[in-house]
Amino acid sequence: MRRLRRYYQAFFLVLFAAAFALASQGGLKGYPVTVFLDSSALNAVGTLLSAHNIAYTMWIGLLILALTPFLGRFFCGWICPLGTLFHLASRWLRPRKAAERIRQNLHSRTQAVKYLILFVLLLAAAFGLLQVGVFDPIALLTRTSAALVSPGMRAGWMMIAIFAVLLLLNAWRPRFWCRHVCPLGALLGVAARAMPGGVVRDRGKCTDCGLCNRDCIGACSPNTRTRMAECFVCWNCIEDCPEKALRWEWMPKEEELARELGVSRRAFFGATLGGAATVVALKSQAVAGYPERIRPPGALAEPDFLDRCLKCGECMKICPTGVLRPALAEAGIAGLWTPVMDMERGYCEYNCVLCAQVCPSGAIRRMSIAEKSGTETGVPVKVGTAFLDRSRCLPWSFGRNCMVCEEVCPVSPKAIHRTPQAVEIEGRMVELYLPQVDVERCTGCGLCQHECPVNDLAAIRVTAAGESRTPGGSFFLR
Amino acid sequence: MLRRSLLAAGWLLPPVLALLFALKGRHYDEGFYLPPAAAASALPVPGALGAWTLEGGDVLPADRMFEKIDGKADYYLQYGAVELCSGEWVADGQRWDMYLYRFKEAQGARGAYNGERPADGKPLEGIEGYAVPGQAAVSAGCFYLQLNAQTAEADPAPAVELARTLASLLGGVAGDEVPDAAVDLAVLAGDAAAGTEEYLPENAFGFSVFAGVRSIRVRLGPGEAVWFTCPGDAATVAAYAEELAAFGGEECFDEDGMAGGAMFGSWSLAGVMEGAVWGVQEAATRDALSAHWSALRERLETREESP
Amino acid sequence: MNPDPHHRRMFIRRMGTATGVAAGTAAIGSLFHNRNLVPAGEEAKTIPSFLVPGTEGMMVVAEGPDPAFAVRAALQELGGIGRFVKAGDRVLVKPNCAFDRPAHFGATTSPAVTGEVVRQCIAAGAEVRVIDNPINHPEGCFVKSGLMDAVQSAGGEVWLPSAALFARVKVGSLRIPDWEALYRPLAWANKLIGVPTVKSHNLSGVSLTMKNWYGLLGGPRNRLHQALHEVVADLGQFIRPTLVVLDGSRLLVANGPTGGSPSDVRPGDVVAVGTDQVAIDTFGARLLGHAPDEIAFLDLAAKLGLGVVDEAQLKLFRKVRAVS
Repeated sequence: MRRLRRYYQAFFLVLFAAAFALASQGGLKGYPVTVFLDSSALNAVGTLLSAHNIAYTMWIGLLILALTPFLGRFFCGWICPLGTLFHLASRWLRPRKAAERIRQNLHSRTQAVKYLILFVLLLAAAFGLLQVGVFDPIALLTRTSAALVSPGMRAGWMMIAIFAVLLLLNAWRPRFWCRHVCPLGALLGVAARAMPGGVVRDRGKCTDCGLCNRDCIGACSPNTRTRMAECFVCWNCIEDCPEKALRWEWMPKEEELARELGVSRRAFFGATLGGAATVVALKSQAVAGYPERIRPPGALAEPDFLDRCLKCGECMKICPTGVLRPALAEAGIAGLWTPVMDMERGYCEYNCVLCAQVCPSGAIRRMSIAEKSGTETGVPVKVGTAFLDRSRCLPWSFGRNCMVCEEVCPVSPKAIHRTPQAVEIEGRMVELYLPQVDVERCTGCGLCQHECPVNDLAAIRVTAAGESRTPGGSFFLR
Repeated sequence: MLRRSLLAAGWLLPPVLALLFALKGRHYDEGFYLPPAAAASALPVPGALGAWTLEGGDVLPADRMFEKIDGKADYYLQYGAVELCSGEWVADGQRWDMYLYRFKEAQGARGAYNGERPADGKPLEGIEGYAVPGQAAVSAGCFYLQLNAQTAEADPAPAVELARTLASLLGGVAGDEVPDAAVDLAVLAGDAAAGTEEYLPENAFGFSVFAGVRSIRVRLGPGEAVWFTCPGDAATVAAYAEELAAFGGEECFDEDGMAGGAMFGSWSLAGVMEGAVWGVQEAATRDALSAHWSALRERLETREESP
Repeated sequence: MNPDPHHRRMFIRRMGTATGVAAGTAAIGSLFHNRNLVPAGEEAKTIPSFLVPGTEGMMVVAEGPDPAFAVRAALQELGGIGRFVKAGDRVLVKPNCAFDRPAHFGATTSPAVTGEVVRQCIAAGAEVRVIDNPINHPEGCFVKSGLMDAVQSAGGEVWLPSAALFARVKVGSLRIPDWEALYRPLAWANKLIGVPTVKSHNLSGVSLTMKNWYGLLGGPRNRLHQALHEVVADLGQFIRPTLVVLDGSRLLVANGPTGGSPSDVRPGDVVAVGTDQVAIDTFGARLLGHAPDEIAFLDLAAKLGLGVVDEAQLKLFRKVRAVS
């Protein structure tokens, strides 16, 4: 069983790496690169509660959740790439002595914390505050990987630091994250409680040597009664028992199985109150009024967007120009790490909808290039509007011709026009071209800002005003 | 047994999953760019002209022309049509359907235009075109433009104006003139013309040296034959003679810059006159060939200069 | 005075050590001391002329609906590609691949023409690499314009720009004496073929051969627009190409240089091949309806001796019909 499990873990880790690498800036080329994010039941249930909708292929997560009452937490033990990485870290960091290892793998009461985390996250999601992505293991791994491969990513150090701490915690308790924190594990654990069978112990044969705990992954106490919500179905205990006192039974007596989660009533009420307070605090933040919250093209209206965004960072990874970066303050606390555009770093490529292609949850809705650029309907997707800062603009303020913004403007006819004006500079008549933005045509792509020669604070800058995703978002009277 | 097959299935599952994953791959990602096949050719006319705007502008390549003009595509293809640009020109209440055929060569455009020109077509001044109620048409450069009204009786005056503007754009683009000789082949044949004119863009009559050929079937006393002309010089005729001999031509002759012979029981010849290649094809006998050739030469020499 | 010889030896040893340390300090100090705290700039490198001697002042215009065929016809008229490219040459081809547009939008050189140029060079026995430093994401530009496929299927290689390829090079005499440019590819090549397309341009009126060398530059090139005509003339001095193939198969007549709508494009059905950048650009400007005196950089370039505006002054000028 060990060999088969390692084979599965290696396979899924490699598949995750391959899928991640395939989400490259040349396009997904049809590969289901977000298949692991889709496999997270937490993401599926979370967006189901907040957005009342399960996007695209996220039913895979529900399928895994539906199999869990029969097979247990096989996802945690056999599939989850983050679990595999932590598993490897645990092996590297584990003590040499068997007695030490047995002690580390005894069930701990704090393993119940993850159920509280799950409860608070789902409670918040039900009230329209989706934060499951912050704790979802796949989103966490994807986000961290994205930060690792794009060194300039803002807040990337934060994500890498969190990951490093989580890795090191494996020295204290093997698979610390999976046992104590992971809300996906908690969700699957709750489902696994309903298992008809499990690992049972033959009290007559057992000598209480404790060897069953030496390599126990989930710390599910096979030495007493196996806690079904914690068991990772690795069967290490069955193989390690020298007396053959442990075995898998499909229909054992009810008293052989431990179905409890170990959450005390007090902790539960505490979590409910704490969760409610968090929801109220975060929801009371205003949704409007963030000029720098420029969302990717195809992003849903802000409340719907926040109901779906998992903060996984796939869009930031795939963006060919690197314009997408995680929000810190631009989108409020609830919008931490959600994607926003920074036109100094990049710009929105005109013939490209890769972020919409890759978004697993539909926070950025799928659309064609034609729909985005409006070549068929005449109505393009508008992420914001470019505003000219005349005090910094070369022709307006310094009497020098420039018009780079007009040159690079990708829409046709161009959204930046010029007015020729004859002016006298140093006794010479010069024809100056003064740029002006056509707000109806401007899509807010930010290429003008990115290419503006005024380099520290561009003379033309995009803000979210006029974005088409907000109904009635235009600031013009039509 | 069950346990062993379950285990085997367990080992096989990952490769199957990997295969499923890999099978979803494609060469192109429509999220990044359109595959080349979907990229249409550019419309040769602007989307708006004065008060007129073009609605539903579309370009169909030769092999898809039938989608718009089912059953008639072959007619244009024989003249070397490359693509059909269509759309509807709209201006204050006026609606005219555009059929704009683009040909490999200006002669093809002119040929297709001549073939469809009705007898009562009123010529347009200054350009090669005509107007009848409900329709205006122009031959300009490599283009043959038709503007059709929704109703057959509509006054063509607005369409004529539009056609003029479009013709000036199109003619300028193609920058090609129709050689004089090609235009009056039908006039040359006169009453003896037995069939419609044909345009053979390449490989005419099976000879690779003949390209851009205009031909007409003519009836004379000794029998029918096909008169033709195409751009070329003495070298073209020499190459033709060589090909004729190489393909098994019999009784070949080559005299005074004129060459010919018989093949598969049909006689043909070609020679150079007035800076172009002229000739006769598909004559039944050598006498018929000579008769046709002298008639053609005589008419070419004595024809009146066209105004 | 202490007569102890041990003491004396110790004294000498310690003094020796101290002197050594002092001398080392002085040496390091004098080595690194620099009154001028402005770092010394690297000297700008010179790009040689890629022109094959004896081929100056030539232009052939080929009209026809098949652009690849027209390129072949024009090259034939010029004496064949072998006159310009020999076996074993390293040919750098510079198309206009500035924007991430499908080819039919006319913002980039057509794949047909670029592919044909690459094919001809490879048939002549050369190694061909195609380069551009686009405005948009480089890979995206090459892929979406169809140039990636065209170049690769013709047997060439696309060389995507990266920071390591750039260095400061000498450019021109009017506005930019030196600038960051794709030095490494230019140093690699011994032949350079420009394959621009015919585009209108919001600022310089037209974007043709000389403006196309802009895609070899890096650095803060968005500043160049402040004196664009002079800069374009400088670019003409910067690159003396082996050959120029101006792709007029379709013309971007409006909304240049980006285009973006099929209605900005007209069919042109013409290519101009030759060695005189100014004559070719004059021809291209005429295609877009500009008289040569409307385009300031043509006059500037002619005055710099980069070529002639008047076709009649060319050593070789021909027009051919290329209909297969």
